Amino acid sequence: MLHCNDVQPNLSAYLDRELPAWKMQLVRWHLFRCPTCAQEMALLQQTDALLHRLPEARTRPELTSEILGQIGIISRREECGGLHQLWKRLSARVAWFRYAFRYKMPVYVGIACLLVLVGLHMDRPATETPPDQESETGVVQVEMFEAEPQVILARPSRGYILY
Amino acid sequence: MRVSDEELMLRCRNGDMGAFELLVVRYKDAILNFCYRLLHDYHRAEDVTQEAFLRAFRSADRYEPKAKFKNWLYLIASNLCKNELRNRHRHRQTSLDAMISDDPGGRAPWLMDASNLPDDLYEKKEQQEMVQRALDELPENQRLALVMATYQGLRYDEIASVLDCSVSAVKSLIHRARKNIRPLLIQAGARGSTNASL
Repeated sequence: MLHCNDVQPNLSAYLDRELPAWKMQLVRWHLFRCPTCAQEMALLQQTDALLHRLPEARTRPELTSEILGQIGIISRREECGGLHQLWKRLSARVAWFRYAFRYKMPVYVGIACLLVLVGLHMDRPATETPPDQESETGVVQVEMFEAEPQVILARPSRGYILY
Repeated sequence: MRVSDEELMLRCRNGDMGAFELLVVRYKDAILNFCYRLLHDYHRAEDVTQEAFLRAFRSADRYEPKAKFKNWLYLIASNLCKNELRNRHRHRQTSLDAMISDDPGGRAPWLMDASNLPDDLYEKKEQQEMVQRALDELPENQRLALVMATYQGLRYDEIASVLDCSVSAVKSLIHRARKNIRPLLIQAGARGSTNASL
């Protein structure tokens, strides 16, 4: 024997005939005897009847041919597989270039600018060489403590002297 | 003798376009109705129906005949409808059908029942709008389950396989949907026509 608490959650399934035969029978017996559940069942039936008032949407006759037309386009594209593959590869390469130009190019330009700046900084002379100590040939004569003059090769642009 | 859907799908996998055409003819009405009930927009429902068949065709290679074709097609269509509803919610779109619902000629003409008189037609159309509005108010899963059970005539085990849940969960979803839609129908004004019943 079923109680109302067991029957009521099954009323929708009973309405849709989705219960096993033995359970359908038990619910039917219960509905004969229980006015509360019978009323609940009547409300469900009326709700269902209201829901069924919605009409069916009819398809346009052209819909089938439109769908099949689309499918024909896809299958033709797959048939000329070589061209399709080539197109896919090309578009992937173009997409990569577009990505590189948008996101990687600023980074590359930044790194290049940094390298140029570092190079310029390293090339700057540390101390200035007085111009009178330099000869045209780059040979500098220096007198040290009245000794014999020494000939020292130096790089005039760098501004330092090698002893 | 009727060839099964699964066999037709296997034929389609081997390049038989006629087999897929037969499947389109078999299911286009059902899928269109299903999408229309969920989206409440005839033109979007048509687009989604087309897309569902195209996706089914594209994935024909991956189709395993152990799954029922009908359930698989409903699964594709329901996923597309869910996406559409989420996009609509995100962008707060208003359907053209809803915008022109006051204009009797603005609605998709295929939804009209020409056998009715104009007054009856108007009243009937009002009731249909109310029912559809109440249906739109239901939570997504309840609406899906209710539409599949009530309008598409799917069995609970088929709905369970589409929604990827147990049969008892479907039973509970449909029961809750019917209970929830009752006050919504009253609220929407359907009681005016059925005050004796509800």
